[in-house]
Amino acid sequence: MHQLQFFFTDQFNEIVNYLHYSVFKEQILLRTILLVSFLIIVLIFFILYYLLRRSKRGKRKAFLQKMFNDLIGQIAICESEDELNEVFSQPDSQKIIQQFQIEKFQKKLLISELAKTSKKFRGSTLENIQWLFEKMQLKNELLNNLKSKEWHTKAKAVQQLALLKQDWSIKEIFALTNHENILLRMEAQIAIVKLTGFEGLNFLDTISHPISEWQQLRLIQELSGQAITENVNICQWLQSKNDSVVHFALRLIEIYQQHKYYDDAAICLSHSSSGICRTAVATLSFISNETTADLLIEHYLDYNAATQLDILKILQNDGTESHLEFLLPLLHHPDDSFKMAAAAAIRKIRSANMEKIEASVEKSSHPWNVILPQLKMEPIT
Amino acid sequence: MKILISDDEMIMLKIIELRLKKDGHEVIVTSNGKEAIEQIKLHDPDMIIADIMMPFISGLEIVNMVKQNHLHRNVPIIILSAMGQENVVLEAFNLGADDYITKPFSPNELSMRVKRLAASAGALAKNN
Repeated sequence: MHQLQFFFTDQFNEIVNYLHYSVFKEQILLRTILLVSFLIIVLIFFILYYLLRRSKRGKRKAFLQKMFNDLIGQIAICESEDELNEVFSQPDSQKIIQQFQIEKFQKKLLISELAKTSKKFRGSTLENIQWLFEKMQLKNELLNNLKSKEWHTKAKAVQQLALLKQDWSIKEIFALTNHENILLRMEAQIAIVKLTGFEGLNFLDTISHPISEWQQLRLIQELSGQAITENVNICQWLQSKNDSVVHFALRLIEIYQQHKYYDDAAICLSHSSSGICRTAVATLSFISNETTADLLIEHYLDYNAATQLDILKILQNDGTESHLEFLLPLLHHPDDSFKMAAAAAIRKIRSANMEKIEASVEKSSHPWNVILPQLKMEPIT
Repeated sequence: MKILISDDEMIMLKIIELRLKKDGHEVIVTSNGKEAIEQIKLHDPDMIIADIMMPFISGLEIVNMVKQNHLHRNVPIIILSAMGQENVVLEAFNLGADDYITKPFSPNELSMRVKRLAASAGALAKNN
């Protein structure tokens, strides 16, 4: 009996405990649901507020852009200083000018519009846009951006100053051409070349960071259409400790056919960098004279396979009978591409040399059974 | 003269519009190729100035459509584009464009080219 009573009390306690626990669990669940719902509502409100603000800002931006475009358009087509002043002092223009002086956002937008516009026009229109930039005293704004601690603000200022052809900023931009931030440095280099042409390449005298292949192409693209000036320090750049500067100088010699730097470029054939040696070989082939082939053969054994093949290809155009002695043994090179290049060079020197090739090799065995018919089909220019 | 200009850049449209209006022309402005085709049908312009890269219909397609239409095939078209590659320029001329200007450009130069084209188109119409 006593045992039975004890059993029931125990069961009862267990049920009460379970109920307590489940109520407690339910309360936790309820509170969690409430908290999550609250957070979701707050998030929805935040998103709505953000979208509303963004749309309002977008509309404001579009309105201001339209207003500025009207002003820029009026100024851009002026044909004299008097007309510029007249348009600028018109009540409509003054209204726009007052608008833009209220907030920094407006100034930023106007600078951006002016820079974008100057990219698309030239001649007097571009000069008028520059006039408006100066008249609206936006110089300090860009100068402050140039002194910003954020690299991207600086880079944008550099870009805009170059587009707006602000010569006063050359010194400031030049100081950034060797900046530790690669993107800022690249923008500054392009900007300085945009502003001063070949003279701007003076940053190569002191640059310690490498100039990427891409950046070299951008600089060359920026210089295209301009005639090379006398005061470029190509000789100094060819002796630079920065390999990318040597590469770039060799490319300039090649593109602008600077025969007067032939001897300086030839020194690079003995450079410690195999990449520079290869570029020097290519450069010399573009400004070659009657001694170039002999010079390249002299260095042939110092180079890797790629550069050696380049030399053989150059000999296809610049080779003479005197080079047969060098070329004929290469018909027995273990690498087929060397065999092919040497044979092509021998044949191009004189078509009758085909007999010499055929006499030196086993015509019917591979790879000559493939190379020889191919060679015969190639025209001799 | 009634000139239709089509470009998707607002500032470009604005400056060209103001420049041509200053020369005394009537200007119809459109910001995409589709709108340009609609306005050409509606207004019968005397000259068309169009960019190549535009939404919906490109400038080259406009040239093609206009030059194949017997009503508008004599309307001179100037292409104004940032694309200066030889193949693009040649394609524009092959399709029937009368002039090609690469950006960046001078609005004064455009104005002169419009005058020259208008004069030669006028002379041609007189001869016919």
